[in-house]
Amino acid sequence: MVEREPTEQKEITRGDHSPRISSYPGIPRWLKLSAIVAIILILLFGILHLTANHNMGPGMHMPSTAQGTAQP
Amino acid sequence: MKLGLRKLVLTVHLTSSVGWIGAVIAYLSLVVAAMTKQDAQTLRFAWFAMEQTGWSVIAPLALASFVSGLVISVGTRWGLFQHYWVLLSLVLTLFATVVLFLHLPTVNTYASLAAETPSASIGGLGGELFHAGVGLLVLIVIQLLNVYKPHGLTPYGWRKQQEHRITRVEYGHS
Repeated sequence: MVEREPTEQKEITRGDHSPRISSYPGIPRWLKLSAIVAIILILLFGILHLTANHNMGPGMHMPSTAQGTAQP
Repeated sequence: MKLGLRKLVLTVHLTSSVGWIGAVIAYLSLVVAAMTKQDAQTLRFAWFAMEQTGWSVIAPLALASFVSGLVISVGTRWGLFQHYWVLLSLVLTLFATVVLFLHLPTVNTYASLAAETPSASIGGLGGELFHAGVGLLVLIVIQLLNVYKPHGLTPYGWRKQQEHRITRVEYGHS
């Protein structure tokens, strides 16, 4: 959904019109926060997966009969 | 990209992306129905419907959303690798599409098993709830990124913007 064109990032100008290379502003805060939330969620899932004894591993992709546990 | 073509691709992208979310919600309702009813007939029907929805609706919508997103990013000044939100949308859409196509054969297996087995407990519904639930969450995150378009240029995007600015100033002086 990219219906509008991007606007240039704001920059403090020196008053003249000479071209200059300004320094990269760095990774935005929203991306850092999102990365932290994503890491926490992945860690939580990993911990739950390791501690709980539920079928969420690679075996979850196979029917139980295919894993050798025949159903009645 | 010309305005008419851009609007056409945008229409395809919007329709397929929103349709994908709707189809996943419908898929989730089938999973929940199968989990709550727990009788063999409902289970058989639910797995059949999940298989059909997966291959006939969700998979084509996912591909259409991914391809139209690629085209519209490359064809406009947003670019594919210049803005973090575009890049993150691409990565998440690719992730959701790959997981979908890796998971659908499992749905086939369960659907075949449900059709052959009179038992009401063949398992697998927990995995479906997990996959569809996480998938829906990822799709909602992508939608939020597309609507809010948070600021932030990648180093490549920043370099391109600087080059564009310099070129514009040089042309302005000449």
